[in-house]
Amino acid sequence: MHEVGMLVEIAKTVAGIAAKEQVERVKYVDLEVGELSGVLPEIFEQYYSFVTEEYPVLKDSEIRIHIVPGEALCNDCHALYNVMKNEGKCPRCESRYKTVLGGQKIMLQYIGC
Amino acid sequence: MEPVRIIEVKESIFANNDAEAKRVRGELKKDKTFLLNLMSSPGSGKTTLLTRTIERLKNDLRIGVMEADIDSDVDALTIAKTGVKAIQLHTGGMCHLDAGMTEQGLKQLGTNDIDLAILENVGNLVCPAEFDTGAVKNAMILSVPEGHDKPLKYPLIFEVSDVLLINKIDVLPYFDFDMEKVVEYAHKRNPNLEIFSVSAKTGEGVEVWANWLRAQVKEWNR
Repeated sequence: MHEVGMLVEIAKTVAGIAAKEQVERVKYVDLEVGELSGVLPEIFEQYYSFVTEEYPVLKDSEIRIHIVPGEALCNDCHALYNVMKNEGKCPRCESRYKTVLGGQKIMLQYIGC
Repeated sequence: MEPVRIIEVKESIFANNDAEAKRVRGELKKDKTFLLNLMSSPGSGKTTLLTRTIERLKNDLRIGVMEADIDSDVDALTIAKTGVKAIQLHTGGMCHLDAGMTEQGLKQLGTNDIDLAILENVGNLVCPAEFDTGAVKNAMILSVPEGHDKPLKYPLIFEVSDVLLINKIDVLPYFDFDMEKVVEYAHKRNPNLEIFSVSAKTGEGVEVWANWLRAQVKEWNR
């Protein structure tokens, strides 16, 4: 349900841009999903066609998802590591205190039409 | 193959909602209405704490409450008994309110004669944190039975909140809830977070929180 609310935001945004750009049919939407954004990309894919049903300009369009890795810098030993692979803990010193450098956002990148 | 035209967007999927929320806040400033967005998990005592808060503020401020739920109007009926204006918003299955839905709610409530509007968001620690509703301040409730580890598990809601209300402190003796730890974890997420310990049931601490809220409302509506 969490993802569906976001899909509605995406559909509204894309339909708005399409109207402004006088686009008749959107072919694809490129979405960048951060590993640490807390969503399941599969759900985006699964429900995209369901949510976009109400927007004629998005009919038959597809969502293309690109995953952005969640990297962090350890605040204690300054190691750079992937948060997901290491379950949030620094692989070198085991500290959980970190500065996340990326992979927290969900960005609409390109619209193909 | 048919040529494809590519439109570069490169913005967060929340950009539209954020812009709408900013506009709602601008309108509220003009109307001299303070909007508080109250978030928490289900069963943390939002409605009970709200009732106690309203009792302490309703003589100084004209209050209106929007209750957001997936279904039912039990909360709006409870709030209406305090004598303030209360409306029920149904999210139609959605787990949060966005700025557009909040604006519709504010219209229905009528902000002309309201000093303090309170939005009781859907009980959920995840989705409501992602959508700016247009509120002037965000408050969240964490109740003692939920545990002191929640700032570690649901970081975003602690980051976007201005106030943390730790509710149900009357049951502290029965739970392994570490007050020092919760403050430490919450401040690690958000160093500016104001924290109040309250019990909606006994009334302990509610006065301090209500005074803080009154001061915020007066400042905004000046």
